[in-house]
Amino acid sequence: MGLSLHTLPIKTKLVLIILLTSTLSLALAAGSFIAYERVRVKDELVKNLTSLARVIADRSTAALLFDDAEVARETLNALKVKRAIVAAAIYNDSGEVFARYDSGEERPYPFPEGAGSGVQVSTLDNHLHLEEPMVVDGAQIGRVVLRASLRELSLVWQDFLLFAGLIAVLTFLTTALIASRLQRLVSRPLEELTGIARDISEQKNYSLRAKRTSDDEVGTLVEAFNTMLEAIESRDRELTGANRQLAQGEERLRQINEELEHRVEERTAELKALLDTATVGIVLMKDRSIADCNRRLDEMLGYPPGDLVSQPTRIWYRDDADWTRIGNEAYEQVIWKGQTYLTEVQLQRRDGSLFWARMSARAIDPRDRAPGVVMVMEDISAERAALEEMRRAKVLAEEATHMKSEFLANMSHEIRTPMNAIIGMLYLALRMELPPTLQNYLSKAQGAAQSLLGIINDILDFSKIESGKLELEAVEFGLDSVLEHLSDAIGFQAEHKGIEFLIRYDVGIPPTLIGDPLRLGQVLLNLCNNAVKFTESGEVELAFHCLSLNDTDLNLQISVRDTGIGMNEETQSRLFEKFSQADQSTTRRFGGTGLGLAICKHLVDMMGGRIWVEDSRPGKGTTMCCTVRLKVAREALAHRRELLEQVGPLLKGMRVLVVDDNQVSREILAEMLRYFQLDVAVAANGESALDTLQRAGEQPFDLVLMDWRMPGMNGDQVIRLIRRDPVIDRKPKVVMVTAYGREDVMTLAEKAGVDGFLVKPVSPSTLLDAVLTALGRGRVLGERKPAEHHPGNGATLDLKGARLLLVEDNDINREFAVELLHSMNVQVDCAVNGEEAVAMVQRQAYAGVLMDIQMPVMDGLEASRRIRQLAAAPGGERFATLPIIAMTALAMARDAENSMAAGMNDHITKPIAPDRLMATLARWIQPPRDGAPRPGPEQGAAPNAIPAELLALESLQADQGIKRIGGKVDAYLKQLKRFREHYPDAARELQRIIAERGVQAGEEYCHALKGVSGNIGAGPLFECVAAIDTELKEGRAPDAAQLALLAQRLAAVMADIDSLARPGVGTASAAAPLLPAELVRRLDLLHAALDHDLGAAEGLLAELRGGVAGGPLEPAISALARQVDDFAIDEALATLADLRAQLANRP
Amino acid sequence: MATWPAIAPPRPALAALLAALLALFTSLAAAENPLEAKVKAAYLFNLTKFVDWPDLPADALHICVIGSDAIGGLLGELRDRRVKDRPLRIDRNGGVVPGNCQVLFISRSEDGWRDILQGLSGSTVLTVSDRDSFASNGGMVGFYTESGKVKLEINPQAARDANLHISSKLLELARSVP
Repeated sequence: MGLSLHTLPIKTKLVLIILLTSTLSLALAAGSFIAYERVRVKDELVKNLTSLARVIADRSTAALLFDDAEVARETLNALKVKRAIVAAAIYNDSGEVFARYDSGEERPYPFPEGAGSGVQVSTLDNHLHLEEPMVVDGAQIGRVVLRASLRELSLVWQDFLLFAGLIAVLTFLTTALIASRLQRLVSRPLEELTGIARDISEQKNYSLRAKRTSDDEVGTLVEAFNTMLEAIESRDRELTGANRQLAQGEERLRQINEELEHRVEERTAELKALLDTATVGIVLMKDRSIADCNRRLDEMLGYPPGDLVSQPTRIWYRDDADWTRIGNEAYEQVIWKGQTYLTEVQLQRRDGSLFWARMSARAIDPRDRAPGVVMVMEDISAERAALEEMRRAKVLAEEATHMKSEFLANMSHEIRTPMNAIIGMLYLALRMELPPTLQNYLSKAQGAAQSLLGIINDILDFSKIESGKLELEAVEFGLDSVLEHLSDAIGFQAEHKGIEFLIRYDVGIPPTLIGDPLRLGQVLLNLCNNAVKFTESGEVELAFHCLSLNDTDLNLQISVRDTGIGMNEETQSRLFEKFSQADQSTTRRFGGTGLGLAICKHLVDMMGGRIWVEDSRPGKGTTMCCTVRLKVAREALAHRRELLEQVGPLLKGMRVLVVDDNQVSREILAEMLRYFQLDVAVAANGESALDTLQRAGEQPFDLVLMDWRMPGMNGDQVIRLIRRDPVIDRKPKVVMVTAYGREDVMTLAEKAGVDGFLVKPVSPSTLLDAVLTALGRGRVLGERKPAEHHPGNGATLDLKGARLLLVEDNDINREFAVELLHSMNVQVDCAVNGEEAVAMVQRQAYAGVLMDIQMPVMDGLEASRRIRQLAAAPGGERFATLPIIAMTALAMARDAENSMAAGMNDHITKPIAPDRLMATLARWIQPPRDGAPRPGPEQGAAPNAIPAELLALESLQADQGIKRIGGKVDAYLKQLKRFREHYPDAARELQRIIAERGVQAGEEYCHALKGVSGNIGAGPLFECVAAIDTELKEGRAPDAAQLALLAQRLAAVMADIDSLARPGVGTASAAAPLLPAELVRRLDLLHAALDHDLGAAEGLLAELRGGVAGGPLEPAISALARQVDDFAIDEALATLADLRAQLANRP
Repeated sequence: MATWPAIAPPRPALAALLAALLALFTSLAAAENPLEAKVKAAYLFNLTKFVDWPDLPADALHICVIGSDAIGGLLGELRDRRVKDRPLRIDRNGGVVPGNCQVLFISRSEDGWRDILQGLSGSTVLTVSDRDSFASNGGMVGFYTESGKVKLEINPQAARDANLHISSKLLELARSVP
């Protein structure tokens, strides 16, 4: 029932609703009314009847009372009026019917006798009975009963119902009609909407719109509907548009597809052609089965075209093993990891023949196995044959190289041997006391020899380079020594050409570096040589600059600047090529092999740097730069600082004037002097120098460094003028600085009266030494010969009589080595070949063996092996640890390896550099513990015995101090005196400095004091000072206790120094009184010494003092000595002259 | 036997009383028709219900009886009956006309009724008698018999003259005189 209702159209629903509602309401209303009416009617009737009854009753009381039935009857008859009443009766109080009435309509009703029911109204068989009591004066006298028929009522009721029904029907119809009309209000818009919607959905015509006819919800709906339709319409339009485009696109796509297919066909054809014409076999494999391959593969394997497709790859393998192996190797490990699998293997053709093939396979997409693997197969039979050929050729080439190397090595050896001799001999010669000139010349000769060696090495190097056999050493060396060699060679040339050769040092460069000094020197030599070679006039400046420096590494920049002919761009670009010169004419003018720079470049590269032309302009000059990386010997750095500290106090405050017309040269010197904490002034020529000196006033100059060659006045002239100048009160010491010692210059200088001589270019150490010497402050660095170099500690190695075995077949070399070893306090036994060596080591216990490699009968390697084998025998344990040092001319890494392999401990190359030898021996040789026969030897100076007096000093370890200062007692005493003068109340001074200038300044002072007290061997004092220094370093001022201790220890030292017999003078032993003649002679010598060599002056003074001890001349000599001490040289000379005059006057 | 007209409220006691009354009436009324006397007494009593006096004393309603008649005796039985919310008093002095009467019954035996009537003019007394032509001669209510039934005849004018109102219900029943 419900369903069907839902499907009814709205119209019907509405009508039904209305009808239903109205019918229901009508029915309800009608029903209510009817019911009400019925009840009312009945009530009405009842009421009527009741009132009638009442009236009758009332009316009939009298009749009843007076028993007048007639009247009563009449009264009752009045009921006729009411049709409904069918009967009535009046009862008397006995219950008898007194009077009655019947309407005649029905049969007379038999009114029952008796008392009434008491109920007023009752219904009895469709009749209504009313009882009304008749009351007179409050007393009931009877009752009236009316009987009314309800039939009338029913009839009325029916009529009523009928009417009502009629009305209902009428109403229903009317309602239906009206409803069906009125429902249109609602349903029509909806219908229309529905109709439109249906239309739209059928026709898909979204331009249709519903008409809005009302403002109610339907209207809103219509509105919304329309809006929606708008949207739909536009969307539809879009869609259609899009669809159209899509269709177009599809069409286009289709076209493109066709095109593409076409192209793909073309391409495929191309590719096919490509593949087929390839000279290698290309195959596409899927799951180790041939999916496709090109024609070449077919050919290679001997199959007809197409036969291979779908075959398993096993078909081309020789056997299952190969197939499995390759499968295992190739796929999971390589191919599917995206890499190319490459292998060479023998494959089998169709006819069973084998051939060598190279297969390289690669996955098309490592991530996806489906596309497969592409493999290229090449028949490498021919290749293999070629390889064989090449291999053979390679072997031959290697043999050739080997022979070449051998040749090189041998040549090296052959050449070096005589060179060794030359150099060695020169070295020995120079170790003797020589007049300076000779010494200089020999030094130069040695330098030249070294240079020659260098040139030879150049050639050999070049060969090595060509063979790729050049290797760098890593040894300790000092840049200074390299530069000395350099200066020797270059200085000569430069002087010869009249150009200045300057070296600008970087004081930050550590004194000891680790690298290949030979090669470094080679580079420098080459660059400087070129610079000098191509400069006609002006100067060549070699400058060093630390680019970066730390505890272990140094990156050094070297630049060589010249004022020469310069280079044009083309030349610059070809500079580092072999055999290139500026032009052919250059070769003729300047000579040279043209190898130098090529080798330099190679060497510099090997040293971790680079070389380049920094600047070069034709006619202006050239600056070449290179950088090298070297390592730093750590102790050297520390020592350098100590050195400086040691030197500092001795030089501090000294005023120096540098006179040089060349600005650069001036600067270089000034820099170096300032580094040593000297107060430096400069002058560019003689005049200004004089002027400066004159104006010095209160602070006179202590020293002048005079260049010799200057415009206007030459150096010697200036010196003379200085000496004569009255204004210059205190005459400074003068050191002549000249390029490349020319004898004539030296003579001139001597005549002018110089106190020292320096040859340019000057190294800091040389400068320092000269300055110290000139100022008479002793040689802090110890005795030094220009051509000699000591590794940092400033003393020759003293092996204290260790016994070594020298095994060398070459006489000269042997002689050289022996000398060298003797200088180191070594006892040497010689063997001429390996066989002898082996025998000798067994006879004698040696501290070490120096073994030449190349010897007849038995070479060094074999000998070494034999010696080591001796260790296996009982009692031969010492042979296992016996230091065997190889001396080899071969200097190649291979040789070092060979030596090591043969059991050697170390090697040094020939020509033997003394310092290298010393260093090596120092490392391996243990000096015997028992008793040193001699203290450290110093060439050219008589060894001094340490006076007992000194040794007895408690607060000083004199032997230490003396050793530190290089073994000279005199120098040591001098130091003590200086110390005494400089630091009498150091403790108070320190306090003052701390108070006034703070902890930092105090630390500097303390540090210097520490250094000095250490050097003089004042142990306890040193400790105390060191402690305070530590405190100061941490920012803490020393407390009173420490200072008190310092003062105490200091006083002790001072006392000890005072207790020494004669301050500043060496031996206290009284010598025999000197004869006047001897005195005179000595005085003369003294005079000369005061002019030239204050060091000698010391000794002479000592003799003089000793000689006049207790004599009348003692005071004079003492005075003289004091003057010398105070460096009042002029006064001393004056005193001396007086003395001399005195003595001359005596008989 | 004719039934007794209903008099009192339908109380069984009353019914019993009535029965007693009946018995009494029967025993007493030897002279007259006892029944008739009874009816007349009843009628007399009932009359009071249908008459309105202008000045009714509050304490009682007096019925005076003149003459000696069984009715008087019967009336005496009705003493203390309530009518018009008053108790009934029966005065049987006879002889003298009481001044305080509402109803005067003049018995048959009384011949001097006319004088009595004249003496009552101007008073509000209901005169009732069963003498013949009572009503036509200035009496208000008369009893007569017809076909054995006692009937009433009323002189409305006389009533009016006495300022008495007689209910139409009664008038309906009675024969009006003149």
